[in-house]
Amino acid sequence: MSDEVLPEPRWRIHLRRARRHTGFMAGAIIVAIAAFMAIFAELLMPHDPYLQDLSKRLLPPIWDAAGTWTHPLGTDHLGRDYLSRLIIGSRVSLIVGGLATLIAGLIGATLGLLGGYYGGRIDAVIMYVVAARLSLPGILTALALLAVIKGSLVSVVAVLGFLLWDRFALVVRSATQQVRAQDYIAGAVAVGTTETRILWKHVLPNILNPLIVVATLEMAAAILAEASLSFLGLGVPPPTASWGLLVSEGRNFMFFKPYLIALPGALIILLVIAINALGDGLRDLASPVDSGES
Amino acid sequence: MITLRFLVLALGLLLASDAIAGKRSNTLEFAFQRETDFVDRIHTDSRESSLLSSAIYDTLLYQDPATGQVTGLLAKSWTWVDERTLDLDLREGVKFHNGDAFDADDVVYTVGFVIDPQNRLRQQESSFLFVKAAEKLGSHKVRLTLNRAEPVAEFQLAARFIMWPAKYTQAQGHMIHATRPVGTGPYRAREVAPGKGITLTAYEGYFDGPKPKAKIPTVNIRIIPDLQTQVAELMAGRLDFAQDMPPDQAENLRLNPALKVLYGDTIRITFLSFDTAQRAGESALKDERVRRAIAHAIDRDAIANRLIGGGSKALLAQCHPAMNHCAQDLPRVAYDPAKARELLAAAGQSNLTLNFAAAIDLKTVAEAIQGYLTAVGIRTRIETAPLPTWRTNFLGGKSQMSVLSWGGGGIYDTSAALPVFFDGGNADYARDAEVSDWIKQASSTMDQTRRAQLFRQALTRIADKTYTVPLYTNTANYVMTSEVDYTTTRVDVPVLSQIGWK
Amino acid sequence: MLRAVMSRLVVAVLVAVTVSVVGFSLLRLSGDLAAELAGEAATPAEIESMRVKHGLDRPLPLQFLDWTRALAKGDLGRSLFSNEPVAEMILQRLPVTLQLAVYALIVSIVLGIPLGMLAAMHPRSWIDRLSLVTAVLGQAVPSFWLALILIVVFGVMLRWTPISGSDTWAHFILPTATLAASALPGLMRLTRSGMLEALSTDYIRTARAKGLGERTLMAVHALPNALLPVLALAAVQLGTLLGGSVIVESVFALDGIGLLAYRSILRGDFPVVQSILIFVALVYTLLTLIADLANAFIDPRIRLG
Repeated sequence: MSDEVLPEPRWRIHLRRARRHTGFMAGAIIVAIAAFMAIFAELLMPHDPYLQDLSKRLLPPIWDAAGTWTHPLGTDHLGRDYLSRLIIGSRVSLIVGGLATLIAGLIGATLGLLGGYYGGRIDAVIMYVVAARLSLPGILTALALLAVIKGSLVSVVAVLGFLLWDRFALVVRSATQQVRAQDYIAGAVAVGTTETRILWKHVLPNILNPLIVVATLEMAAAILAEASLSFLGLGVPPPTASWGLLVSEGRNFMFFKPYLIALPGALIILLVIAINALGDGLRDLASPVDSGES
Repeated sequence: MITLRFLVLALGLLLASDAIAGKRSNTLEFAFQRETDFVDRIHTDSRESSLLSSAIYDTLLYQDPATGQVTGLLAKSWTWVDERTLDLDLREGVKFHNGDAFDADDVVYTVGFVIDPQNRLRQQESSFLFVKAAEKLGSHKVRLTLNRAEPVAEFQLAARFIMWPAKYTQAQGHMIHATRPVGTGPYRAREVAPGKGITLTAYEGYFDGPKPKAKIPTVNIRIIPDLQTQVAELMAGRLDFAQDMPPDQAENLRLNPALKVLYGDTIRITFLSFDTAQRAGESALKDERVRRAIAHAIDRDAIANRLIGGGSKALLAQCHPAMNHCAQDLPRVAYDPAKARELLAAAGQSNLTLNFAAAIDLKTVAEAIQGYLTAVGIRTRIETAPLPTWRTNFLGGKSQMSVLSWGGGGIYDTSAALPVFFDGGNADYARDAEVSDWIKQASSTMDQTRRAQLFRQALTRIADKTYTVPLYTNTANYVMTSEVDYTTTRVDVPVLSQIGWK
Repeated sequence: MLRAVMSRLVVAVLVAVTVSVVGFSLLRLSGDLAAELAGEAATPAEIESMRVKHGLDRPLPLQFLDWTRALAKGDLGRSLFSNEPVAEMILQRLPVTLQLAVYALIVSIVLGIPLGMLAAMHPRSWIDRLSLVTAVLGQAVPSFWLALILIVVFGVMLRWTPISGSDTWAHFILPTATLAASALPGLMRLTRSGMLEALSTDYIRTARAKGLGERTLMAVHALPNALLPVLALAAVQLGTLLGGSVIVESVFALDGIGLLAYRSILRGDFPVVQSILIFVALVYTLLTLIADLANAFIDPRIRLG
């Protein structure tokens, strides 16, 4: 540990610089709000998001003359509270975004690490796997797979995890190649450190930065993909409220109640931009300090 | 910037003149929400095939959509020799779209085809198999002999007994009617693109009969599964006629002066089917109490009045109230979630998950039912599919629970509602031999009192055992441009050749 | 050089084989094909005879060989839904998807390259910011949502464009815009970074020092260098657009292979789904290969190694 992480002051430097980075801060705040919504949805929601009441279908939102504060954003086509559904929707987005990225990250980072470190045949095989993965059209493959294994939160996470690892593999591979070429790796090899230990203790910490940046990109991609799949009716199944599904459900009323598609769409866009900004911010914050050291 | 705005404006004008719907182009742009795998009512009986069949083909007899009266169509007149023998005099001088003359050989061939069990037509038993044989008595005279007395034989002959050209069909195989249909009807099929659309053109040689001649030269039927796209196309003036618009949407569209909305009654009903017979594998639905609990969990009045609207009514029995012998005084299963939970607890099924299938157009209804079931602790996995796929699964015995609608071929008799789902065939998920037997007897006796009694018996058993949950009556909701001239009829699909311009 | 080309070819062939295996397994996983082929009213005996007739009772590797043999002859089987030959169904609809993808690519090139260049030439100017905002939005706006908004605004409120179908060129306007919005950011940002890099290379600096005009500098020196990777990306993008048109086609009911794939997925018509998947994957692989090789031949700096 001692050779990468400096004691206290570096933390402070990071924090100070982060505070001054507007993109990073804005992104972090929005993502934090979304995470808060997702975690504490039960406390924030005015109603049960799944409780339907057909006698209260399609109530207007508060800005409409007939709107009431009981249902600030009105109700949907089955009389469910729309605000509550928007709030709980953040949970699906973040769960899918987070877990799919985690799976993709594990697959991609492992492959990239192996390919980048060992090179040669292993690298060739891994590059071929990446090429095969890239050739499969993403959404189409996901739709076909989900049609076979039937959509559920778990299957959506799994399918996206297995489809979004390619960028991880490529980035980690090239980062590993760079680290591999460093003197201290050769030094470690020379003193007889085991390969597992080298990969774990020396290589992995040094590729964490690009890994995190890719993770944010992929998380944004996974959130968008989930929304698209749910919109097409093959993502998370009803009655689960996902922002993509809300757009899909609001579609029938989009000419008369445009906010039913505008709101969930805007939330998706906001969250994706925030995550991307967070990623860009992390990259900006990480690069100069590191480049000075490595 | 000014040039840009000008360009955009010019482009807009250019494109606006590109719209092809409406009176000016003399083409009726017509939307289907669902796909159909066949356009003829011999292969399949659905709203889509009814509509297209009445345009492309003719039946032997004709049921007037406004009055429900049966008159002659391809048969000029008919006489009952006895209860099981019917002689028909065919109309002379009728020509198929391909030029072949229509005569007794075509009737003998087509009837022979539809009553051959080898051909495995959908709902063949209930629609066709009451006929035993067709015999040629002269070039334009045929005799039909029946297997049994059939109280609604004339309605049946006006429903799915469309006539195919014998020579063409024999030469090309019967599947040719899926892609290149040839009939005698007021419209001929110019192009059938499965899953995409159908173009019909007026058949100039159509005979003067009870069915109107085509009024609009070209009808372009497009399959637009998305309601929102249908709404947009209507508002943009690129669609003239939409037939499945939920009243929610229709009421919004009514505000548009270029559009008008018509609601009509149909004899189509929507209900929930349970896999009582365990055809799709073992499930809790075998238990009567679970089925009854589901019936108690669903607020049918709310679904009919609030969700469906447009005059839909909650059903009391497994048939449409307008059908003959559809008993309306059966004990009512009230909306009572507490009772539902009690029954589930008694059945030891307080933690139940069911597979729930529906054709895509019934998705909203399925979701509403899902909401009601969730409220009493039953989880459901909704699986929606296009109608043909859903039907294949349903008929293949893969449905645990399905919501489906049934139009009974437009026949105002309980014998149109029941047999298909209780005859022991592939749509029967109850498999109650007694019920099948009662219905069979009722469908083959001319004694109306006896029929009423038998149907009552069957309906009572179906309700007692909760083989189904009858939900609501369907309505016909048409939205059309104000240029279109059409008035609703009792049949739940529009008769294309009745549609004209104002 | 030749070795490098060979190795690329080998990888491409391997990828093609892998993709075929994936497609084949998808079809077998989707359900009992014999039962599907036999139809909804079939008896178990009929299903079995169908199984034997189509060789579905044989070991999987043998079935795979049968299937690849048929594939090589262009026989992709028949649709379970309409019973049409799948190859014909795809070929019928391919022009629509191809048109859409090519239009979208042209639009993103025509807009993306100049915008990227201008952004590079004037860093931190309004045009640079505009390009950044476009890129951020292009990545964040879900295409299904953009499609709906375009329909509301241009199809219904302004009534400028048709909103569903593929009958005339006008039907392609909104789908092209939607699809281009997803391809544009990548091309634009790559042009920008390529230009920035090219502008900072030694020989551009030398040329500038020699007093060459800024315009000549751009046209003759910076642009070709910056554009190579952009063109390679464009080729790859074309493949991505072919596969990515499924959402756009289904929202606009554009009758291409994307819509066919989507509807076939909903219908459970897996012979069609599988064929489209393999087809798109093969085209993508081919385009990537061409881009790689072209890059290697044209650009003396990148020697495949």
